[in-house]
Amino acid sequence: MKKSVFIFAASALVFIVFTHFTSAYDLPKWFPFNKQNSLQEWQEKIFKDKVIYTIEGSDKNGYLLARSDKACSGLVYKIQFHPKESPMISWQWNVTRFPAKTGSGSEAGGWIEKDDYAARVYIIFPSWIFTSTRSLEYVWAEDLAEGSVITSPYFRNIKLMVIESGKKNMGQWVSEERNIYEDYKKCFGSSPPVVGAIALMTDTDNTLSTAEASYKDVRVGYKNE
Amino acid sequence: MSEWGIKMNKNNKRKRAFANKIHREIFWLVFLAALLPASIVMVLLYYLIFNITAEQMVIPEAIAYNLLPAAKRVIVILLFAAPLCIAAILIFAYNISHRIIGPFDRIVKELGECVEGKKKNHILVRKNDKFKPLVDKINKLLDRLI
Repeated sequence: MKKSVFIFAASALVFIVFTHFTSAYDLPKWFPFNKQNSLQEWQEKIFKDKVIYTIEGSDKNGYLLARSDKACSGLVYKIQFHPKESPMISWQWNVTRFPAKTGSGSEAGGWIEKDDYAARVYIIFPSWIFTSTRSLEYVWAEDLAEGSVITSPYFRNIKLMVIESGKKNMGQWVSEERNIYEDYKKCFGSSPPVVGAIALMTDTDNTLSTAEASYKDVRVGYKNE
Repeated sequence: MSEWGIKMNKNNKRKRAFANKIHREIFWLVFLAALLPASIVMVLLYYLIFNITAEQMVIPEAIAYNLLPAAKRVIVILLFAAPLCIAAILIFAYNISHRIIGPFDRIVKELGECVEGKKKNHILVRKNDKFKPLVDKINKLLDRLI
């Protein structure tokens, strides 16, 4: 009896260790979006209708273009790394059309009706219990102050950091570099768990409008130098 | 008071819920044997269904918008259904344990009377008693001895 319990426990341990190591990822990961098949390793997750994501431009100047028409879907890349060891993420984005929002979020209509952003980059922290899943979202908002941190109207575990605001840089490529570890601590007040995925999204399902943004040169999971 | 420490009233009915220690043990055995696997399966199903769905959805807003309300509804339903199921299992366990210990107790009591010489006829059991084959053999033995 004791022997069989031991064999079962040992097998379970080997399985856990095996699955852990086989799911290890090469870091840092770079997504230049410069080839037509660049989106093959990304999964599209549709929330409400499809946003059109296409690779545009030539090899050196390739980028990911997102066009949303009353839609909400995101591109997800599953990757596991600990932000304490590899805290950095960087990318370039360019907003060419913002979703049409009327008034600020606190006015009539509420937050959910205005929870659309021309461009956002997700860092997703999954959990064993799905209600504890957390998400940090870097957004380019037209109407919110740069540097502000807001809680999603959908769920308290989703924090949005406005890192680019307004139309002053509209139509230009803007480079961003963020320290996920520090940003998570600022938003949630604790050290981050393992990152489970990153995602890109341009959405206009709540405002029932249109938006257009581009992304390129996404680099994730590198050390702060 | 019977030989096995069972308190009886005038109508030969037990006063206590459990006749004796064996009755209580059988009751708990049946109760836990039904409740534990059911609880484990329920928790695992809840966890697996919602967690795997959340894992597939990935986008936290989608999880919050679609999955959380469903999970909350399931919890509310379970809060109402679980006490009813537990009560049903309790009744089931009590009946099962009672059906086992009732005839057993009667056999012991009547055998005691036979040993003391107060009783010279067969031990009586109901048609559906679980111990009927045993009682039949005892009655044959009594026929040979008396």
